[in-house]
Amino acid sequence: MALRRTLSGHAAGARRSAKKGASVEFADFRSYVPGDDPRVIDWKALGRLDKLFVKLFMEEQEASLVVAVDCSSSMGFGEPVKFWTARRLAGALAFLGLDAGDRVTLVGLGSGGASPRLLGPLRGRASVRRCLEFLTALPCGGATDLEAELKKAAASAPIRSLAIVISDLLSPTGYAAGLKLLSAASRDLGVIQILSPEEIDPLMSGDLKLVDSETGESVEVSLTPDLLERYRREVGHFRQEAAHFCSSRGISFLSASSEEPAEGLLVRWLPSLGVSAG
Amino acid sequence: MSFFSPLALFLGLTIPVIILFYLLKRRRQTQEVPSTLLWKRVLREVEADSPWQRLRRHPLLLLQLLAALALVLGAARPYLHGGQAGHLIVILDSSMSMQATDVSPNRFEAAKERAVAQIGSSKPGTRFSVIAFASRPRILVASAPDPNLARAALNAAVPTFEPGHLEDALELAASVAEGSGLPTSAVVFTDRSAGPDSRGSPLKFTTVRVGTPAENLAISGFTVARLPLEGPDTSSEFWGLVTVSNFGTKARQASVEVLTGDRVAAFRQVLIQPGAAVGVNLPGLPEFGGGFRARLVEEDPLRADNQAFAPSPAGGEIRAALVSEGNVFLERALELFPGLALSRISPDIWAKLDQGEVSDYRMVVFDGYLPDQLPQADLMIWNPPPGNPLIPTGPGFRPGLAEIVDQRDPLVRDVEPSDLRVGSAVSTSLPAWARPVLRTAGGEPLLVAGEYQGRRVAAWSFDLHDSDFPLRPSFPVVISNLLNWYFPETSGEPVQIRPGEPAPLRVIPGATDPRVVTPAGRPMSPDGDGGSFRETGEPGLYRLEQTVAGRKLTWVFAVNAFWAEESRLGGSGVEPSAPTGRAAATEDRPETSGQEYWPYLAWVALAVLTFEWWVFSRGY
Repeated sequence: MALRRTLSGHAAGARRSAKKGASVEFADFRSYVPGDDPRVIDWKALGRLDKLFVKLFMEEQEASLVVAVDCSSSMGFGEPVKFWTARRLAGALAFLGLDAGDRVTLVGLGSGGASPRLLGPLRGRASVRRCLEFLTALPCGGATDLEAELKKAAASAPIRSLAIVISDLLSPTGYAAGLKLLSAASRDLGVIQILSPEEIDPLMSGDLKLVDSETGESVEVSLTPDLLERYRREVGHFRQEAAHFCSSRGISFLSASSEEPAEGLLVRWLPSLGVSAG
Repeated sequence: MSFFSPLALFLGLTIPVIILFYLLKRRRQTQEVPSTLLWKRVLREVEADSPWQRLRRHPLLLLQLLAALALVLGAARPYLHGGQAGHLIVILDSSMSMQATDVSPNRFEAAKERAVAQIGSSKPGTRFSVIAFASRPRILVASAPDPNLARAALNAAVPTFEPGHLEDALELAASVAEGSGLPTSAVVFTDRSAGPDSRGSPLKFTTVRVGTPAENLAISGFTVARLPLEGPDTSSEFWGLVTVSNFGTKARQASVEVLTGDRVAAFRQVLIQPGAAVGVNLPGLPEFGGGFRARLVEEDPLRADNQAFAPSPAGGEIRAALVSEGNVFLERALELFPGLALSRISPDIWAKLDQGEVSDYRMVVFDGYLPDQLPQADLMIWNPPPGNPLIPTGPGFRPGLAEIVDQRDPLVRDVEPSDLRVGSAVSTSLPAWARPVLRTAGGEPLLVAGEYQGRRVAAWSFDLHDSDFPLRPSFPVVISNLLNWYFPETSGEPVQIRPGEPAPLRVIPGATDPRVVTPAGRPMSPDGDGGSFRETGEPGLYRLEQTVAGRKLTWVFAVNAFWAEESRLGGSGVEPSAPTGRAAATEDRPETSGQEYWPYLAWVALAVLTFEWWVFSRGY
């Protein structure tokens, strides 16, 4: 797993750091100043130019990855269930992170309690099992104030980490302020919006009373083809809105259907985050 | 635009009812969704689009309302006024069935009300004609420019007890239309469920129907006869026979009573199956001179046919004289006639009788003899002598087989022409007052009949002994026919006169001050020569009163509304055996032809409903 930007952490790891240091990867030259390690003097340059230059190498540090999964009731719908897809994505990301030697933190947004349910930070491949157990046990249900949950996550997530939020973004209070805060708190932020096929293209018909799974509020609709078309347009508009919001703030965004395989999604999306799954 | 049935616009109340039903029927199925966030946004957008968006969400409702509107308008039967004011002919059915009270207050008033509304909705400048029809059409108003005249004529119109002959009314209306020279529309207000339509009629007309199929019991026949009692004396009793018909669809109990004046003389109850007629025998009626009234106790929509009248059978004697040298055949035949007191007088004695004695006879039979001075009585003349004052005679001849001049002549009813073989006769020329009844193959009259100076006279131009006629079965028949003609009031067959038909009257020769007293007690004069009376519109007992030689004679005849086609409240034109209600199931369904628009509206409604079905099946 390769990151788009260099890190600025303290612990040494497998990620390139903005700091120059003792890795094998060449970074730059600079003039020798007294006190420099004589091992890094470029003797060949001295021979050619008769000037003392020292080689600078990239110092590798560990990265911090925060994966936040929306656990609100709305995620419990769809075929396949959105929450199931979200957990698979979160598990895959956690695995990639741990495999690359990163510190991985998993957060369940709105999974009950005053603070977000949290696992980590974990390190090492051995932690993959814990991650998966955590995700398996993560409950889905209840109303979630996504904005507030994101703010909490921003407060609890490691500074300058790579944060990835997996949610349907269907929150009555909105998601903008929370994402802004999390974007500011993290080094990189990615958002994966998961919607179910039934949400994207509803198959309902007739006169219905639709009850919100989170708020319990209801709306009465008489589903005509015209109204369904309008709804589809609204879904498209909602997704575009989220994409525009994210792109304007340097947030990587992916809107996907829950029926798409998690692996394919990651292969498609991670490059846009500046991360390669290799 | 105007409406033939503006009251039908009240059906427009169905439109809010449809909306109400629509609201009530929308029991929505509850479905949990992840979030209503996006649905709320969509609904906000839809409702903000336009005030009609709410309705656009219910295309089925809109289509149903459109169909209902088309049907309501169609039921109101809109029509457009022509470009110019024209001529409106209102043809009003005033037949007996229009008295039925199945619609309030009755069919006739309902029809009048609609007709007045029709006049009110006409364009200014329209000319109006009003024709009321029963058995005959009558023009009440002809091409009047003032609608008030037409309204007044309609308001003054009354229903009759007669049958309705629409065809005659249409012919008259066509003449009126032709005479006006204006574009004419005719509207028939009737309760007939079948009848002519404007196709094939010279006049385009529209029909507005009133009335609903209704149950009805009717008295369809009533006679009272005098029957001799068993025993040595000549006493007799009165028997009544009332025929009650059920013109409905259900079996009905009928209570029949016969009244003499205001007293109930007999009463019986019978059960009558639908479409059937039952004869109710009521023996032992008391002798009552004024005539009998039968009535049904049960109420039904048509009262006019719930009562009937019958005169008391005539009693007493009719004095007649047979002036002959001897004719046993004639004697026997005349004696067969009930109530006839026959005196046999030889011509010599007759010649010596004074006028006072002669005037006692209502009828005199002269056989081979005719006095110079004819008695003031009906005459039957056989073999008139030459030079008589009444019938010009000529030489004798051999007629052979006789021929009947007119088979419909009541005098030769049931007479077989082959029975009339005559050996010799005197040739006579037809007098101006007479019509030939029997004649030879060469056209020589053998029997002539007619009225001569107030007398009924029948003259045979042969001697009965010169023929085998007296030995033939037709002989007593023709004598009986002749006597029935002389004395209709005593004839065995009841004189059944129905409203509007002329009553054959028999003003006795020499009678003074003959007059007919109607059931309402109004004295009226007989028509013209006293041979008939036409003012028989009202059912009941009529009395012909006349004074003969100082004696006041009264003859009662009855007028009864025995019209099966009018009693059948399902409508006219139905087979007699068909129960009424079923046969006229389309009653009260206004039908029309002409320049109306309801057929188009009906098609629109059908198209909209089909489209609605299509929309529904597409899941909208």
